[in-house]
Amino acid sequence: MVFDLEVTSNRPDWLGHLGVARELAAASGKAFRPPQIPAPVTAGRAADLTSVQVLDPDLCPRYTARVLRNVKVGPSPAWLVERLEAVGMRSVNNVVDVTNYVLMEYSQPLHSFDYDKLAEHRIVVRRAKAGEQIVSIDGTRCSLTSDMLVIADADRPVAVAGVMGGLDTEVNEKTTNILLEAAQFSPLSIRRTSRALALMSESNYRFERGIDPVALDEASRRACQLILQLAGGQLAEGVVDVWANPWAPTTVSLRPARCNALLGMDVPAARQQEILAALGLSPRIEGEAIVCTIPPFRRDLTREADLIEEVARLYGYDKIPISPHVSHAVAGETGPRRVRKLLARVLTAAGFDETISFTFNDKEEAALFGVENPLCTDPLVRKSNNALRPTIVGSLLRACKTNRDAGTAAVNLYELAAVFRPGPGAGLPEEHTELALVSTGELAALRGAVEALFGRIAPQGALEFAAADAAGFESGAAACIRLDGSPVGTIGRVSARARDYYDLERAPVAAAIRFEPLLAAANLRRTYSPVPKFPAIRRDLSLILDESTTWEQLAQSVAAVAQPLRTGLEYVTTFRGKPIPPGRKSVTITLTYRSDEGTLRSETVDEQVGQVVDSLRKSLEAEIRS
Amino acid sequence: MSLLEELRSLQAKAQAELEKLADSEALEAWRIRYLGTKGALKDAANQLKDVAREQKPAVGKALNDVKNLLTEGFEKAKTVLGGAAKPKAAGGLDVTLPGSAPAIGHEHLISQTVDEICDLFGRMGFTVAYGPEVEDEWHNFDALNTPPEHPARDVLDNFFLDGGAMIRSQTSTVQIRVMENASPPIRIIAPGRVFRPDTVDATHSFMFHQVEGLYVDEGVTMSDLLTCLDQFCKAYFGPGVPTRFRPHFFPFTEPSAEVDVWYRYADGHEGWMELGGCGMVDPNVLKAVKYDAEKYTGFAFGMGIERMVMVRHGIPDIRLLYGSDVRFLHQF
Repeated sequence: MVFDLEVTSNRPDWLGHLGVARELAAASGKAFRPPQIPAPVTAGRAADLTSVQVLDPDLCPRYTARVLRNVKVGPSPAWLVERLEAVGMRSVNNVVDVTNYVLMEYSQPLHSFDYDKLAEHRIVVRRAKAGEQIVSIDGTRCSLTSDMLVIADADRPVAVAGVMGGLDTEVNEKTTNILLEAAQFSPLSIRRTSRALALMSESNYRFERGIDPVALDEASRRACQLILQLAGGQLAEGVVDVWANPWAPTTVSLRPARCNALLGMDVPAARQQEILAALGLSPRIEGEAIVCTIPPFRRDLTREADLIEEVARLYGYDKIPISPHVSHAVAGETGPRRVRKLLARVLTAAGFDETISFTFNDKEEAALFGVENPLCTDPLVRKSNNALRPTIVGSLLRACKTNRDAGTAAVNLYELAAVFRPGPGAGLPEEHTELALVSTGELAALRGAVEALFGRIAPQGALEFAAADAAGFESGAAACIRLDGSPVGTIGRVSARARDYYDLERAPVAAAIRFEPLLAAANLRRTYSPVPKFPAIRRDLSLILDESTTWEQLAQSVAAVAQPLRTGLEYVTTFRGKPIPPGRKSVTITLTYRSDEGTLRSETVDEQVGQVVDSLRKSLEAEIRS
Repeated sequence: MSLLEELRSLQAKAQAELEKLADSEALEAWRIRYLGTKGALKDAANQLKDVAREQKPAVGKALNDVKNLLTEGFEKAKTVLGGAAKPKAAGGLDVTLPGSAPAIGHEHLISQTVDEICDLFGRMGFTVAYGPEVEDEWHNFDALNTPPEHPARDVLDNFFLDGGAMIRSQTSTVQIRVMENASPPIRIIAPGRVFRPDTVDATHSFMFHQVEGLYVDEGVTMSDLLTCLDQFCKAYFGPGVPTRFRPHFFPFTEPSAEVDVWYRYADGHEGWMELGGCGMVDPNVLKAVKYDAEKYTGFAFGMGIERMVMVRHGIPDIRLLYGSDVRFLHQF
């Protein structure tokens, strides 16, 4: 029977069968029965046959070596082969298989060396020297660096510590004498070495999560027991053990009242103690607290909170009461959320679809929008398409292409997301939230949507569009969007370069707007202004103007005629062609007049319109089209 | 009678009639009579060419005024009498013609879901908080009780950037950002994008969305946590839906749990669906933000949005969510 277990990273003891058995025993109240390892008959002394020197005890807190002689390396018995296969391991030979079997049993990686191939029959645990190399058991040649810990003999590295053994000293059919390693290595050092060499194994997986520094010797003795049983030979007496700081048990206290207060249920103190005892924590009462002695296989237990979890876990999460009511504190919605909701409402009403696209772009896409060196992720995990986009516009242009290829030529899309640039030095890179809009329609409609958005969210803000070139936009067809005088974005037709990059036939129009200034200017609580009592009077005027006259000039010229009763100027349409002479255009506008005193008389309005016309004749050489 | 006089009497007659109209059908007939393309006003306009040159501006203006007045009157009456006349069987409107749909955009399904979730927690008093996507290791790991040797910090499992920063691997970062800047009680819900190296396929993506919740105050219990998430599940998935809490491990909560909800899938089968992780805020996290871990307790939870969305709406491939295909976007 094979069970698949999800082992959380705090419980490396569950990476071995004995650890799981210990837990099941605690949960079920049954006895935990580890293998019995009687002292074997020995020949010779390990200390006379080898020595261990640990030069970097911070990376290798404990190293033990045992020596077995005259073993007969050969195939493993069927039971061993089958058990290894059941946990996804391949049988190699009886000695290697035993080390793997014990690895699975005790969650303790072991390594067996061919004793006779170790120069001077001794072990040196040290950092690799620059330029040193090793060929690992799987045949890979690894170049080592001084960050990496190696197991060496008198001359050269014979294993990458905790990660992979060397080919030269591996145990094979010709091996008769064995040095058996059981050690503890620093998790971080093992992880870095394993990633740098791209070597992954059951061993480094366990060392990275931490092994039981006390049980490692038991695992070593267990392996010797099985090797003697399956491969014969004699074990040398004793162990060469370098352990600078032996395990000292620690204690952690639990206050039963605190436990119940945190869980929100009542677990009797006696039951709490019972649970802790079942887990092997030797609890004893000291005043108001239960003091536990932490065994080396439960190094994850360091604080009271950890013990509370043990109590809750074994008592049962299903016993924690769920109330039909929830405690409540009303809070208003924050500005950012309200503005985001309003933004979505306005833009969807304006016919724009929201999309969510990947935050990553290609470097070339960033360059299209003037960012030559975008923020990039470590190429180790993502080699291409790894630039954090400095604008969303590129992603939306790609969406235009995707949709066109799918048969949808006309799209209006928007996305609100973070965009990034490298920061100006120390500290975090630059990040802000961008609202991007892309449309295959007309610029006027896009601008109208932007105006509607600002008008809805920040109606008091002065919104301007000033012609200005911008990276990624067609020269002469882009404008800087200003809110109360400060630039907040760009709008215009995208550049031919961008159009070609995304393989589009026609360059769409786009806008990229910073969200933060819009948020800052948001006015979510309006005050009433009186609704006009008297009707407004509107007059349409068709003006024949020079082709070069912009709307901005026309609007400024109208504004120059001070008329308190004039409440509006609107653009209606532009007409070119007969009977308008070449080089001229007819622009129709609507002027609105209103008084708070009473309904305006037609004659009054006509007179005022006349003043505007006269002024425009002079300032813009306008003619009235009849 | 001069044209000017004719116009005045026309106006008076039309306005008098307008007052007496009984229904929208009569109104439509009135409109055709006076404002239609062959109506009385059009006739008057056609006579304008015969008016003496010096009188033309005055008559033209009067014509315009009458037209404005009558149009205004018509619009007013229409709101009272109810729109255009009902079509007749023959020669009227073809009511069976399809309507012309307004071009209304669609919010992305993920946004809609996040909104719904935030609204539900909003009813329980949680306010929405946002945080940056580019983070330092302090906010993504250290302050969340995830020491350097923790496997979650593996360089292969995170997107580190030039210069040591990273893009956040979890929205739990917002917990720290909020607590660093405010004192308890804290009750927030933080939606956002997160990033973890993963090859994109039908069910995996290197970018996805999470919603993170945090509640810190005096006397917050694990029972409160289970109650809050149970209430959420019953509100979101349906009344009476069972929930289950299984022990788990997260560095930033202790005790920790995974939440499952009993779910009836689109294909008819039923089973436990994993919703996310949760637990009591680890004392080390409270200490990292300089809270008194003896005085305050709290709970936190996090859930992935994509899987919930896919299961709920029968979406077979996660890539559809990020593909920007409007044929997909318009379905929701």
